[in-house]
Amino acid sequence: MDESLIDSTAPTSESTEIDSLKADINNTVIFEEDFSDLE
Amino acid sequence: MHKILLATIIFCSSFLFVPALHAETSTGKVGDDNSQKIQQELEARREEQRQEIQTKRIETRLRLAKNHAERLQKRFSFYYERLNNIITRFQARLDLSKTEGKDTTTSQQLLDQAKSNLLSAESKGKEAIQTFSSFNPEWSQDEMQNKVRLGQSQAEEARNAFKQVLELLKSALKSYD
Repeated sequence: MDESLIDSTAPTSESTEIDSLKADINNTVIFEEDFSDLE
Repeated sequence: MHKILLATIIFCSSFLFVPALHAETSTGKVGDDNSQKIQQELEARREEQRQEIQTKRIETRLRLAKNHAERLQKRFSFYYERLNNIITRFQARLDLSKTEGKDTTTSQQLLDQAKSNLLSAESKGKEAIQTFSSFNPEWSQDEMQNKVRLGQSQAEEARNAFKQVLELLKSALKSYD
């Protein structure tokens, strides 16, 4: 099959999509901000 | 005769001593003037050094503020893009599930709240970036300190808003399961 015909944005299975969303949420880190050098 | 001779000697001697005395007094005055001049030069030099230190301090603070603005810009843009991408994908999944007859009410409510909070986080982030980008070398020490506190508080608000979005997304996803 020609790989260029594969649509990467095509809907995937529900469980795969939900697992992927969970992984992205859990891997999102909101970092602490440090401004002590300006004190 | 002796008396006349003695008087003459004393009279003549006075002409010898007066210039010497005058010279001594003049030297003292010159010394005072020199000392004053040196003092003034030292004071001027100290003032110049104080100004140089102050200028360097201001330059450093401006550079640091600019660095913070750039870092916040990168981080907040990254958070926004990433969370917005998750929201978009989750919304697509909810829309699909709705057409399949699944009850998505709670998830949708939480997702709507996440969308709204994301816009708020983005806006607060821009305020913080604007504050750190607008540092002015003409500001006084107090003005600069106040701006640091303001920017810090705005950045903290933005950060908390992004964290809330993340928590709302976790809840929305949990309620979907």
